[in-house]
Amino acid sequence: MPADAPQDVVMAVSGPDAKVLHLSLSPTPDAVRDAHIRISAWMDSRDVGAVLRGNTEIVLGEALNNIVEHAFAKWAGTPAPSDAIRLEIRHRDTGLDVCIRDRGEKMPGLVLPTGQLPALSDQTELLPEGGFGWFLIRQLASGLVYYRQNGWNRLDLVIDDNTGAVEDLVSTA
Amino acid sequence: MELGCERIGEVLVITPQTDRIDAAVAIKFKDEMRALTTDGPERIVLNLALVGFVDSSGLGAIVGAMKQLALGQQLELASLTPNVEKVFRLTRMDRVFRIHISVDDAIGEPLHAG
Repeated sequence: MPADAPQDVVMAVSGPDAKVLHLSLSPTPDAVRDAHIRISAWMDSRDVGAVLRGNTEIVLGEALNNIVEHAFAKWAGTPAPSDAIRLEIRHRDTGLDVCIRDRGEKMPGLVLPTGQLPALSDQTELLPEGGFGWFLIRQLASGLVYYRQNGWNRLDLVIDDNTGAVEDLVSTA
Repeated sequence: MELGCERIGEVLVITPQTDRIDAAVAIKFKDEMRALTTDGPERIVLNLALVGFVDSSGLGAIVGAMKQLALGQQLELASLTPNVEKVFRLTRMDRVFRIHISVDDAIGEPLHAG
């Protein structure tokens, strides 16, 4: 492979002590998977705690899957630029600030999905096999802001250190 | 994706040899589960000990694997790692599946206990 061949995932770190992770990826499930491996390695290097780390994997997994499956649905199977999705994660004392931008289709109605949990039927054949993504994002992230600018979608969100603790309090209340 | 498969007494134990069941492998996972469970025993235990991450597509594929079983067959789960347990708990799917602490626990516990 020539050295200048496009890569599916390109990663860089910046800021004092590599506090900020920058990642560009193409809108494919394999690139998302590869991106996760790099994000995990970066979180290792930042000594991110287990709960925050787990929540981040879930939130970013769902957010990136949604972009690949919906914003780039029309692009499926066609070569897409390796920087069609750009991710920036900033490590703060109390959690992670995340900014995801993509060049895909805009969010319908320019609003984020409400993320209702799909109804669980008593009948196995009626159980939902999807529709959990935005529910999980809204459970584990806060400060969600979406906007469309110059042909790019932008989603900002915060994943706090104490989200797991709060959730456990709620679930045992 | 490789799925380990072992028959222990009347129970079929399937162990995914991967640390992720996500959108990249969800369809393949569901197809391979169908191949392994067709004509299988009543009790099928999916051992998730090696799986550190399941996203909503992976969760959907596990639900799909249960829905495609024959009448009388049942899919149970064992050895959920913390982040996988969290996804099942948040989505309330922990109420849909019978979940065992370990495969040993699952094997020692017959379907129609009591």
